[in-house]
Amino acid sequence: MKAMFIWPPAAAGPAVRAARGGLSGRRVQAVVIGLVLLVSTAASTLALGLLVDSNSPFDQAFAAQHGSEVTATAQATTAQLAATAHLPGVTAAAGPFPEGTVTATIPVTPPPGVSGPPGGGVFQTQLTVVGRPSPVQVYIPGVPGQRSGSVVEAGPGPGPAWPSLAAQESAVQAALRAQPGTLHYVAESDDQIGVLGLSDHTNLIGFAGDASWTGYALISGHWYQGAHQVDVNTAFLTGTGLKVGGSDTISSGSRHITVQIAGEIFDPAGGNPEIVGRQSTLATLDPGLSPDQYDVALTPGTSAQAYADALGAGLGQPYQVNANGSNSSQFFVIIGLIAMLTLLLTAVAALGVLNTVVLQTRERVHDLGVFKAVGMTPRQTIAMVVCSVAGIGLVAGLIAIPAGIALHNYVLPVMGHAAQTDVPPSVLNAYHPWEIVLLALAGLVIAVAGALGPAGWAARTRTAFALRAE
Amino acid sequence: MDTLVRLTDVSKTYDSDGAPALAHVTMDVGHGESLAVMGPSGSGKSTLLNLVAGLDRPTGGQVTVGGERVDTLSETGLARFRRRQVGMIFQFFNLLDDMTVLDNVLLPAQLAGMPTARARARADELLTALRIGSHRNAYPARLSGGERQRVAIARALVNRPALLLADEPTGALDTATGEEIGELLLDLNSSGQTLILVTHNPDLAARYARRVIEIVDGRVASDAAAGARR
Repeated sequence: MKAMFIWPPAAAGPAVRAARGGLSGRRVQAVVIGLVLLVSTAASTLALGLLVDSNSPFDQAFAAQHGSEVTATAQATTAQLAATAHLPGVTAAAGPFPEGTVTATIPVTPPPGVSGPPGGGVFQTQLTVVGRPSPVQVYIPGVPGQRSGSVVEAGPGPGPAWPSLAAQESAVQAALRAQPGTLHYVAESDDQIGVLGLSDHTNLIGFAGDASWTGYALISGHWYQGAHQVDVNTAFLTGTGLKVGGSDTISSGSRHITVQIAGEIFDPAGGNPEIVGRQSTLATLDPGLSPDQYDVALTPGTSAQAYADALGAGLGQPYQVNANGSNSSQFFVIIGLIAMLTLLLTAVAALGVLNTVVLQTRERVHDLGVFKAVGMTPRQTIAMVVCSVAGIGLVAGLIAIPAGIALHNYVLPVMGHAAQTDVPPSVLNAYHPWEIVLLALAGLVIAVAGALGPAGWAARTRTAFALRAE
Repeated sequence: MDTLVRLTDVSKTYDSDGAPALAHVTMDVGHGESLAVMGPSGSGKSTLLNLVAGLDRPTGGQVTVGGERVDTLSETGLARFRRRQVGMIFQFFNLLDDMTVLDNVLLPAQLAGMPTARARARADELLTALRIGSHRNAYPARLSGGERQRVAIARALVNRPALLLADEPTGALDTATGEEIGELLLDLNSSGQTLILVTHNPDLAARYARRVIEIVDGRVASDAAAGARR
C-alpha cells in the first residue's frame, strides 16, 4: 500500500491535480462516493461501538478485579422443589447479574423417602444465571425445613442427613480459602420480595462482605458503603420515583428499612426492580435471606476450569462445581451478528466505491491514455486513481466518526430504556481517543481499498488501446 | 545525419490470424529530419507512429530511438522514454478537458520531475511563442481547433523531446488553420526538431516534409525525398 504513494514528488502535483480535476468534473460520482463512505463509516462506528459495549461491562468489571469469577449457588432438593409454590421464580431470582445468560439443567438426587418422578428418571431443576457469566458454579444442597436462599420457599418434609446451611457455607468458605488461585470471595444472598409501592417482585442481592470488586457497572452514584446505603437499578428508581442520593424507607409487609440510595446499577436485563446492599441490611426486610452463592475472584493466570475442577474435588458430593465459559453461546451469537454487520457495512462501502470508481475509470479511459501517452507511469496512474477517492474518503471519515458516535450515544440509551435501564457512561464511552483517530481513517482505508482494483486496471491498460477509446 | 529512429524488420499483428498491420518494415530517421508517412486509411501509418512512440509493442523486429531499444522496455520504462524522447500531437488534440491550458502543458514536465519554476517558465515560453499565452488559464473546451492544436504542440514540446510525432495534425482543422499549424511544424523542424508526420494528404506531405514514406497494406511502398518548401 505504502509503495503506491511513492512517486517523484514533482509528479505528485499532476496526479493529485488530475484526480482533483476529474472529481470537479464528476461531482455526482464524488458525492455518491462521499455519501456511501459517510453512511457506511458512521454505521460501522455505531456497530463497532455496540460490539465494544456488548463486552464492556463484563470486561471492565473483571479487568478491574484482575481475575476470574466463581459463583457458588445453593441448590434445592427435590423435596424443596416439590414444596415450592414459586418454581417460575427460580429463573428470575437466580440471576442478579446483568450480562449474558447461562442456563444449566441440574439433576437433583431425591432425598430418602421421596420417590422419583412418574415414569422414572431423575428430578431436575433449571437455574438461569442472568448476568455475569460465571466461570465456575458450586452447588450446595439446601436443608429441608429451612429457607434455601432465593431458590425456593422450603416446606416441611423429611430431610436428608445433610449438614446445616451454616455448615455448608463454612465448608465452601474453607474450601475457597484453601484453594490456590482464590483472590477474593464474598457470600451472596438472593431473594425476591414484594416491596410496598412496586407492582413487580423486587430482587434482593445481599453481600456478606466487601463486594465492590464484583464489578457492577454504575450508571450514577457509587457502590454502597455501610449498613444504611444500597444500590438499586433503573427499574427500582423508576418504580419508586426515588433518586440517587436520596433516602427513603423501603417496606415489605410489616418490615421496613430506611436507606440512602448510593448508586444506580446497570442492569441490561431490565425487568424487576433490584436492590443491592449488605446482607445484614437487606435481611431486615427479608429475614430468610441467607447466602446461596459465592462470588470468587481468581488470581491472574488461574484457569477457571482447573480451579473449578480442583474445588469440586475438594468439596466432594453433594456439592457441584461447574466451570462455565466466560460468555454464553447467546452472547457469542450477538457478538457474531454485530461483527458480521460491521464487516458487511465495510464491504458494502468498499464495493460502492469500487463500483463508482470502476465506472469512472472506464468512462475516463481515454483520458488515462492521454496521461500515459505524455509519460505517466503505471505507479503514478494508480496514485492518480486512488487520490481521486482518497480525499473524499478522508473527509467522509472525519464527518462520519462523530456522526457514528453521536448515533451510538443516541441509540444505546434508547435500547436501554426499552430494557428499562439507563446506560452508564462507561458503556457510552466505547472508544478510546486513539481508536477514534484510527476510525477517522476508516473512510480513507475503505476508499483506497475500493479504488485499488480499478487503479490496477487503469495502470495495466495499454496506452494505444486507451487512446482509441471514445 | 545521425540516426535517431531505426526500425528493423518491424511487424505488428493485432489478431493472431489476421493480416499484419505492419509487415517487415525497416527504416531510419535521422536527427533533424522531417519525415511524412503517407498511405490510405488502414495502411498502418498510425501503427508505425505508435510503435515509434512506445504506445504499442511490435510483434516482431526492433524499434530503436536515440539508441534505446523501445520494444524491450517495461511499461514504466516506456513512460519514462516518452517523457524524455517523444512529443506527440494528435488529430483530435487529446487535451484533458478538466485541466487548464497551462496545466495541460505543464503535465509532461511535472510527470518528468522538472522543477516547478522551470516547468512554468518553459510552459510560458511555449505558450507565448505559439501565441496562446492569453489562454493559459482557460479550459480547452473554450478554445478553437487551431488554438487547441497549439496547446497540444506546446505540451508536446515542453520536455524538449528529441522526436516530435504528429498524427494527422491538421486533420480536424479547417484549411487556413491547418496551414498555420503546418507552418508551425515547419518552423520547428527548421530549428532542428526531428519530425515524423503521419498524413494521408499528399499536399501536406509535400509542403511540410523533406522525405515521404508511403505505406500500403503495412509495407513500405516507397521512400523518397519530397519537394518540401523551404
